[in-house]
Amino acid sequence: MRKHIFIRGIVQGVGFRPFVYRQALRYKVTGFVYNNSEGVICEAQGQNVEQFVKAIKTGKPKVSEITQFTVTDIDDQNETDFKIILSVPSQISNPVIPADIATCNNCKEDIKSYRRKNYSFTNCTNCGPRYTIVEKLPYDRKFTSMHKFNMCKECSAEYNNPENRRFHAEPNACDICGPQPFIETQGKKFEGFFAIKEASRLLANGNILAVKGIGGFHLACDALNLDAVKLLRQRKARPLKPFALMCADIGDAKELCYVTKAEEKALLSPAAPIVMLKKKRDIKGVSDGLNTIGIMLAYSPLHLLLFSEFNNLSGKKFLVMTSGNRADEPICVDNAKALSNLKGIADYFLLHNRDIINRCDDSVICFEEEQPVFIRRSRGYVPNPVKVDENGDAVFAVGADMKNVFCLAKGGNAVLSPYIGDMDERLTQNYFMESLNNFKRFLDVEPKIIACDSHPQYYSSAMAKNLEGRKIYVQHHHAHLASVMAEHNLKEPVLGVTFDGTGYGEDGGVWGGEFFYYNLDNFERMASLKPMLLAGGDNAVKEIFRPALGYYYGADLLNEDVTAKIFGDADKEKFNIVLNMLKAGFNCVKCSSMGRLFDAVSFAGKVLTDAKYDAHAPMLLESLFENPSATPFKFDITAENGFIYADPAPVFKEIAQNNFSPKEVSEKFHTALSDMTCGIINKLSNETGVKTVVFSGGVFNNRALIRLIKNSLKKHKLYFNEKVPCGDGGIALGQVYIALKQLAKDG
Amino acid sequence: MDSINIKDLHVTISHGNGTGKTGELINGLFFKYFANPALNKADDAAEIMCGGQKLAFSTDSYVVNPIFFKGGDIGRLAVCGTVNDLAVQGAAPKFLSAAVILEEGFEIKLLEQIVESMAQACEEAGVSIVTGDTKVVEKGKCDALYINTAGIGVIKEGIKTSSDNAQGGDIVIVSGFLGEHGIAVLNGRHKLGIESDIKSDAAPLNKITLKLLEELGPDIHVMRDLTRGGLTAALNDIAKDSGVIIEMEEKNIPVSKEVKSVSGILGLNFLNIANEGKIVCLVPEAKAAKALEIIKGLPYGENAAVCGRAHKDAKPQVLLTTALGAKVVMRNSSSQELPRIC
Repeated sequence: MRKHIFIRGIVQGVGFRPFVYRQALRYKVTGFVYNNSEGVICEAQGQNVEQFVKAIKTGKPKVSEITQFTVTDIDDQNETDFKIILSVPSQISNPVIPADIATCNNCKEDIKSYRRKNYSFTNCTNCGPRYTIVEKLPYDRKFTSMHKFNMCKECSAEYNNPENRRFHAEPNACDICGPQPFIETQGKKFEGFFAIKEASRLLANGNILAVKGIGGFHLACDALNLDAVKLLRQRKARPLKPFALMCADIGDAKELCYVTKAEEKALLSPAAPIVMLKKKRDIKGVSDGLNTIGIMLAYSPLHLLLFSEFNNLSGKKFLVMTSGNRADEPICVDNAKALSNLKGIADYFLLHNRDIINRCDDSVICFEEEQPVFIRRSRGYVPNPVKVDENGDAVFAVGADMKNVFCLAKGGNAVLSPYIGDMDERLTQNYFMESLNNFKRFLDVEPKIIACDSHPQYYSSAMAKNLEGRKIYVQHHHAHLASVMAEHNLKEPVLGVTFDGTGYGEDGGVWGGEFFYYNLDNFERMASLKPMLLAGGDNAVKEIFRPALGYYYGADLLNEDVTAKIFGDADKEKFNIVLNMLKAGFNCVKCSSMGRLFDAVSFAGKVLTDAKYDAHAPMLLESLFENPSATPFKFDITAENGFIYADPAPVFKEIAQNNFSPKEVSEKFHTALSDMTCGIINKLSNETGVKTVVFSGGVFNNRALIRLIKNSLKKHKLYFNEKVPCGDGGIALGQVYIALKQLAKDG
Repeated sequence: MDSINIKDLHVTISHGNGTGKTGELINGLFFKYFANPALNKADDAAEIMCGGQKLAFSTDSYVVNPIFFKGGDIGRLAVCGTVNDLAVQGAAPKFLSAAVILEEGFEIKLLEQIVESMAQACEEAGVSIVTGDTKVVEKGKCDALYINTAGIGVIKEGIKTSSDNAQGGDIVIVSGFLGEHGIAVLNGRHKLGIESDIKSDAAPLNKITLKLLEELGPDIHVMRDLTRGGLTAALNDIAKDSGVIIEMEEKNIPVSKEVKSVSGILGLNFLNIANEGKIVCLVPEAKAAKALEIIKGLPYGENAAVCGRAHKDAKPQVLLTTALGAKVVMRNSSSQELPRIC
């Protein structure tokens, strides 16, 4: 009996047809396979056709993902062989481009010998750049930045041979015909592997290099050369924010850090993200004060060769690989811009001549046991869709203003953009519009429904306002919760906990320590942190003594002793002015943000005085946490007209009255926060009968908190973000989901 | 213009604070009923023809709280404000009116201080108050006193300095340190306890504007005073009305160390804070050095600086290159600054 097989999912550009072809030869079936706009279509007949079908279903290529696999019986045909039918352009409008894939093991071998020895752009159908080189669809070499490289005879033969690993590997290339790295030093130009050797030498000598990679430039230096690391920090105006490291293989990562199974799997995955790992030992200057370090494994042949040479020369294994940008700008992608923008930062530039069409920052992820926690979802994951169960009109969600990621949704696929950045920056806004236009083209949609945050001063919302179409305004924390509902396809009523830094609340205040009842129709705020006054707009987020002062002033705890003890080191004039602002209510806003509570506790507990980067204080506080059975601080739980307030005033009182070490403060605070959260959840569960709880908001990057909550809410079903960031990088998915629900409701 | 609807049923404070709501009220109500060519331009001062002579005519009411603040008082403000509105329109201010609304019980001694201060400012500006009005209302019906002034001045032939006159390639000059008036008043009003000596910059600027026009004539493309909304509001108006992008260099914008530090503490952007003795002017690059020299040579212009450039663009915008090299959009203030950062 002949079989018609239809396969939907991530099945194009990932070597699926050659794989099917090889199975056909193996099981001696006849028929054909081809791509169309929906996925892969295959027909086959022969004695072993059942085994053939099974082999396809179970042995699929590593990076493919099957969402639908349908087999139907059809009539036998008269034929003698099995063919790959090449796609006719008009038939292909593959709605999804594959994400970039880290170098596979076969290609890692290939760069050690034979014709691809030491070749920086080696790839095959199982690996290599994808999204970052695509100009337009269909995904075909002539529509990628590889179009300017004509394949040599041998590459061409591989490309056209269905039995070869490089059959229709669109970026296929070799040393003879493909792209090349190059570097100029003192008027001398080195090309190809000589450029890699020269770059390695410069790195080993302590220089800072701009290195063009897959999704953009990195700034690289020898991680163990403290002078080089310090110089990079100074030139990048980035005094303390942790740097990510790159190393060649998992063994090197394990020398430096503890690596769990889940973390190992992620490090070795095709996406090759930066994984936050627990330090075994410290490298000074890289992530000072934290117990973790972000590591990624070399994910392109260029990086692998660079490491091999660098290691040969210096015996060292780690390079700092931080994003190649100036201040808050998007990372550089083209040679000319990098040469001008990074001029004052990098000593030398390791460039190459394959254009990066779509910028894509490295992804960052961490794990709480098996649970993935995305900090940034970008290279390797974009543009893989997140499935949502709503099929309505195409929707564009602009996301939030900080760490912006937008989302386009169509036909049950929500496609999130790469990491865009902070929207007050002009180049970032341009990058946003440019990416939006690319995505609309890639997905062939022109959405008329636009979802955005209800914050009146968001640049992203102002941009949404200027776009044509119906606008749907979504409250920030509503979007956070909906992102979890969308990921886990939850339909039942839930209790929602959103802890984050700043979200514009329905009452005009700043929210961020919130409890909701949520059933997709009804979104009701049930409890929150007791609001305090936050003085000084955005500066109240940058300067952590302000929320601390807000709490001490609000709780009426500011006697002379407390002022001396907690605020003794603060600038006197600044302290007085901010206190007067609080008294006058001048430029103050009511704030129930959990992020600010972490800041305030860190300041009061002498964990940190000056925050130097986003989430600096909460990250230090989490790093200090070890003992889950510490005696917790207390929150005052009060109710006003059925609304529950959690007031942290006793926390600040205890800190002022005692001399706790920073570690004690961290442990007493984390346990108290977990107790408070679980206490309120239990209370709300009793009132509503709801036992499902969803958690979102940037504070849930805090793994200590996740662990404590999971351990004490054993009778509830708990859901966290696992596919998109719980921070503002996941907001767009929630906005999409709410818009789709709204449309469904409107009919 | 009359398509703008006023959504509110009652007047709110934000209808008077210079933000979008104010525009809603002005466009939706006053312009709708009063519409005429001179008004519709909505410049700082109206340009009118009178007996073959082009005149600038402007009015403003002063309700500042507190009425005395470091560096000035409501009287000095009432004279300088109207003088400057005329001056940036390219006019030579000549005559002012003054109307005073007094609260029953207000101290005559204080009133005298204010009137004296008005007279001094008039003398400095070379203008005369030639007509006036006095009203007293019952205690509690107004806060101490309010002053309205109006003024007229003569505009020479060929002079045009309105916000729609910026040209591609123009250089932006700011006449001195920004933010002082706003901070001095806020400090007095909210008792913020700012120790550094930040004084209101309230001053008549007609000597500067007239000298510029005398020397450079029509090469002075735009002049605006930097009152409510500060430099940002003025530049955004210019960008929008002239169809230009204005790119500012943060490191070159004149501001005192004190204002920079205090505005940071208050969480305010000094670029958006009101001034009462500062102007911005746009001139062709070839004349920028001369214009700067003129301003710097006159009282109230010592700290002037070249700090930006305009170029034609279909998408008018005001951009600021920060000290770190990032380009950010200079946005008008809203009624309240809310944190966006998470």
